[in-house]
Amino acid sequence: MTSGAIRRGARVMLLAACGAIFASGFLAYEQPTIGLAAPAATVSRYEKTVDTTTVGNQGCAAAGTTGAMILNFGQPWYQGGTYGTWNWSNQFFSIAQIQGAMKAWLSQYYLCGGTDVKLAIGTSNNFGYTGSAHGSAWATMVNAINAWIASPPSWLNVEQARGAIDAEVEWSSASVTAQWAQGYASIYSCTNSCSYYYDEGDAGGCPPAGSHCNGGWTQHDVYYMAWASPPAYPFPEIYWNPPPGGPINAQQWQAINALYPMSFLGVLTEHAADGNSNTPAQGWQQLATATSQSPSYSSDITWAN
Amino acid sequence: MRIDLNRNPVLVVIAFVLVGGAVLISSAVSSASGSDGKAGKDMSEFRPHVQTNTIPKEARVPKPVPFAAPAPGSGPVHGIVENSQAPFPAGSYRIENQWQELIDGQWVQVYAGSLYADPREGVILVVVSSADWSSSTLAVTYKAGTVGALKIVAAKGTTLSIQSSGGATLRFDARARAFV
Repeated sequence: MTSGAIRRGARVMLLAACGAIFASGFLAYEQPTIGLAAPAATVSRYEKTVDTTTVGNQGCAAAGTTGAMILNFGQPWYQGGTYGTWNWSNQFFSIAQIQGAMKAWLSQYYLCGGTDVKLAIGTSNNFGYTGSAHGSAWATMVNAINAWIASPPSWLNVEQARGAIDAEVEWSSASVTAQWAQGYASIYSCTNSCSYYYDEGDAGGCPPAGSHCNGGWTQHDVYYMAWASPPAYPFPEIYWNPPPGGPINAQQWQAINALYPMSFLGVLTEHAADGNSNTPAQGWQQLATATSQSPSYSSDITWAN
Repeated sequence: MRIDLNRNPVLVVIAFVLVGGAVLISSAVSSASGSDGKAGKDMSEFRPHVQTNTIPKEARVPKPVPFAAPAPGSGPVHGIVENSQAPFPAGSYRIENQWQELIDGQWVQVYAGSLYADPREGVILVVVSSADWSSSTLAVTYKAGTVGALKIVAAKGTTLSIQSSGGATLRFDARARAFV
């Protein structure tokens, strides 16, 4: 190659570099999604009953809405030879009871004219029987509900079941919580509809709020539960309304996302349970702005049943 | 403007550096957007719903085989419950235990513990629900001061004896929802 050719090549590269840098800057500028409209928020619940009439009425009431929502039944529990949850109302609900209640909810959602819902059936990692066996039992239940939805006449074009776990770093250890996810992942199926689970947990204490996550968890542990586990999709709690600390929950999740990229499926707020916390729109905007993503769903959790 | 690379050979080096930098920046932007993290995931989970159901509400019928109604359980516990579960963000409170009872047709749940951020700051939270749990509200949040984490140790009627980790003894009337 002659020196003239090198010089010509360098000239082209110089111009290309300027263009590339300009384009990169433009792309970086385009990333923030501030100002995008949040999706309509659905109603999630801390469920305190498995009464089929009460829960069925909730399904009918939800028929006018679409999207994803979480019904959380409480901490993993084992009693009388079966898995289930220790509920917020301080009673044991077996998997069979929860499954019956969820079928009541789904039946009424369909019969009352609902058009599209992903119903995530939730537990937590709040000590108790958090672990692999409970994760497997939970996935078995979600698979069974999807099989029931798909049974003739199939309602899968209207509704699908998912699992959910409120995985909070302050509760069970990262390793025990990961065992729950591994148990779930070993059983979940896509035979009828994929029985994924939504991580509705927190990133308490994680940077930038603190130097490390609470409970001995690492940012990678949080990422594992929310995204790296095969059936996992992140639906994090974005509760805290600035001031004084700024949109810290969203910033914590973005700090994890910057290290271990993931796509956020939804945003969970609890304005109906705590009027001082983010509204659904505020929570969604904070995560969207922090991550430059546009989560598909927004849901607000309430104590009311 | 004409750039004479014969007189400015350093520009050749700068060009290489800039091209390399641009590639790195583009890579970083792509990474930050999360595209790398999508590998192996079913992105249809994020897809907006496409309406495919054409059956109007009036024409919808239940499944031909009804599902089995779940057998009733033993019902909620009455009295002190040695369990830290509570429907509050884990990063806000450390709950030690709780007490619940039906009072005047409403479930009153009293949670005792401390602030998560400062275990010296004792707290009592009261949630009141309808008898069928169809409605619930956070009725009261008390900060008891720097007495340490609170725990319910006894109940007589609706009066709860509460011990703090700092050694203080308190009495709380769940009916009045106030310290006595």
